[in-house]
Amino acid sequence: MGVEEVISKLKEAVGSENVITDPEELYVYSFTAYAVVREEPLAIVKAKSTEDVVKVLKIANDYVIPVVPRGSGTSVIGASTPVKGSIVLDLRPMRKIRVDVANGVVEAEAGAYVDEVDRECRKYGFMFPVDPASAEAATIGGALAMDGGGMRGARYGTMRHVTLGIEVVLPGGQVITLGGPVYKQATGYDLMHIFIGSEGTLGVITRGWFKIVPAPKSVGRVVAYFDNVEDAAKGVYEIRRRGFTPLIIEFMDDIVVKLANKVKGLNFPEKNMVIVDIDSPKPEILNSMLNEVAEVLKASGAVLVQFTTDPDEMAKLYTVRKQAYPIFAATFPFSFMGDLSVPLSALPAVVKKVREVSAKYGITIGLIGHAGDGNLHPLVGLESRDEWWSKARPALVEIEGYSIELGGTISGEHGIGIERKDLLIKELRARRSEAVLEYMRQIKKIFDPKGIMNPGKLVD
Amino acid sequence: MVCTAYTLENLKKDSSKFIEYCKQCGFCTPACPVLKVSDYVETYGPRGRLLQIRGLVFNELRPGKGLSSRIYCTLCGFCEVKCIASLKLTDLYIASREYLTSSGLTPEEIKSVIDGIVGNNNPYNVDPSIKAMWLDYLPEKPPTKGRVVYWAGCTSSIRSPETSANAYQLIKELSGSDVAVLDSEPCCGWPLYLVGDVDGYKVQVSRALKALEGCGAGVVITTCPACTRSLRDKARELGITSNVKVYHIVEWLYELMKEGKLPKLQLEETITYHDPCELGRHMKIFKEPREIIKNIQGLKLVEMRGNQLESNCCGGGGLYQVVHMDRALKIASLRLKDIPQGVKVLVSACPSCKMTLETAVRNEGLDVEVLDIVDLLMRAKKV
Repeated sequence: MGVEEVISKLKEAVGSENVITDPEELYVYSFTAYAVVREEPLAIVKAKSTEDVVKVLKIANDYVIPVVPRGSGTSVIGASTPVKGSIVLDLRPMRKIRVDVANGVVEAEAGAYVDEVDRECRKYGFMFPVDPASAEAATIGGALAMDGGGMRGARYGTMRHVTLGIEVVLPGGQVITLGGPVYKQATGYDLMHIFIGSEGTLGVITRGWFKIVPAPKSVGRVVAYFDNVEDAAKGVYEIRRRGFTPLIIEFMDDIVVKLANKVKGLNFPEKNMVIVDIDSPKPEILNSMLNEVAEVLKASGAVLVQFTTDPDEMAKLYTVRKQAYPIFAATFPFSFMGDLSVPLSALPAVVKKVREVSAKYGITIGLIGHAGDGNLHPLVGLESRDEWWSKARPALVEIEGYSIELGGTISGEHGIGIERKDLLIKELRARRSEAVLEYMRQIKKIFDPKGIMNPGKLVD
Repeated sequence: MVCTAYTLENLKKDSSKFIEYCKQCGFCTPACPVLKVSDYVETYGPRGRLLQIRGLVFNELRPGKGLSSRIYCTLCGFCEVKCIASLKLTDLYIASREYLTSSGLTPEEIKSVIDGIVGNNNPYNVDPSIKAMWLDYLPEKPPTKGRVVYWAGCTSSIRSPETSANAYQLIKELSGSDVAVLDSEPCCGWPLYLVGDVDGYKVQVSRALKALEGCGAGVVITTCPACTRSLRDKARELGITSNVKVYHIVEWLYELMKEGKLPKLQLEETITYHDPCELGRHMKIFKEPREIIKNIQGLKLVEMRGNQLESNCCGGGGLYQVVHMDRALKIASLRLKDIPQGVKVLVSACPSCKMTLETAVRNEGLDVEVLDIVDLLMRAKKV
């Protein structure tokens, strides 16, 4: 088999204008948001339809060429990093969205941006429940493949919790639909949930059907500042324990707030910050709900609590949270984001651990997170790329590893990719469930017997 | 992070402080108008452009004609708004254009622009007499010397002569004095800056400012945002000083309005306003045109989807349409989709935007009129 033969087959199948082999373009596609590893692919194929995906997977399977599905390349753990000599299947040209208001469903193709889907739903008074921080850039296909979560995770969960059905193309070109645009389906093994979060290792997800929820009519925001990081974390789980189901509960430590003030010229109290959004279908009771949440946070040790229902004021109070990662990105030449999830009661212990590890390795680690669901993102800022291997990675491994001891997990919403394969093994060992790896390998063999789908990711 | 190193050589010296800050997060990509009309192929988006520049800086890519063509975008700056690391990406794009120009890889289409400025004092490479033809729309020949000068600029003069004449009449009426127009107005040099010939730009803009000083200008008013940026902001940033005060016409009108010197106007119409990238995102002039529009009684302004900092580009900037005319017009067609339902008048404050959007309206067969804000004011009646 010659490379030219494969390229020629691809061009014949999907049109030469949709097959990119220019070295400069292959160079560009070798990069993703995972800065640790990069490899140049053999070719990029622009998929404009499910039929295009079918043709490409058939050729790839025949010639045993690795295929790496790609949305916006925003995976921070290397799930979309090309494999050397692979075909990168760029799904962004597939971007149709259809809102079915009567049935409470939105259908979207893999290349549509998550934010775009949300905006389409909002035209009809609904919203897309999952709201990753990268929603503007992240695609539906990527979010499904990674089981992405986000700000509203505490209430709506991750992608798998809102997905009703998916269309998948398997290696060899077979198209299957798992689930569909219905809210209930009791039809045997739930294969859809095997594909969600499979990181492109089993097949290519080309479209999905999702639940939509009414966009909140009235929303208020409470912001509480804590001197003590443990108190802030306790405040977060106290809100949940008292029976509130906020739209979002976000957490930032004082390191992030201080950096934001310095970089952006802001003037927020330099303390640990908890942001809680409460919504209500009845605007008249919203203020009393906000008051109650404020009292809970005060009782947990908050030294200052502010709340408002004014959209401009709400946006102002949200500035730091929105700017958290950008501030690290703009301050340090290299920055990385961890991702761990723990039971709510373990949050204070994680926060303490992050501080210890930061001191041990002598690097800046800030902490943000979707604290309402126990999902935290340590932000690591580095002055030099070399510090990744010597300091940052060992630090993140220690922090994420500690979450296992607390009964949590090494990834809440970013996935395994290349970056966390060793941690996944560690977690499974800790649970005496190493056999799970073998089950995963067997599942991969069923759907992808030749091992062409995104090799080297998730499980070897 | 602001980059002031306009050459790739300088960038190479300082690359770790600039290019490495890009985290490839992709937040810039959905904003890019060029990416939208290029099948979302990464190489045509801001992250792809930056990576190609990175390849040049680190000698991992060799400059070639394909790369040269892909580096050209509309320079709309929407990617900068979205950049999580606050990178000044358009400066980087200019640096890469400089590198390509100095490597002899300027796209063929761009060469005519440079030849035009050198040979005919305008980027359209037309005879200077054509540039002066807008003066025929005036009842009488304006003076060539005076304290207040109207600077029409090449695009407005050549592509929008009626707007130029309207602007002149408006300024004359509101200033209550004679308004001069330069005899053989030179190019402001902005296209040279856009091709990355920063030295050439400095020479040309200095020449233009000298011509203005030579005619006794104290105040210069222009209808072109690019000319405003060139004659004032960028010249100042690059250390070229002048006593001449340059205003875009909306700034000048807004000052008059604050002083109560703008007459009350009336026009029964519903319009929408397109923020030109040069005027809006690059110069942060958002409030002034809106306040001027709101000053017209009976006029209803309905905002476009995507406005002010988040305004979508019309495709007409950055010399992009010189290199990729078809795609530029596709961008303009996309912009027309942002017009609110039922609105039939699209107002802007830039001759390039007007020209590009008018062409797209014709291509799409839409019943929409494209006006410069000056045309709108002249259409309104005094109360």
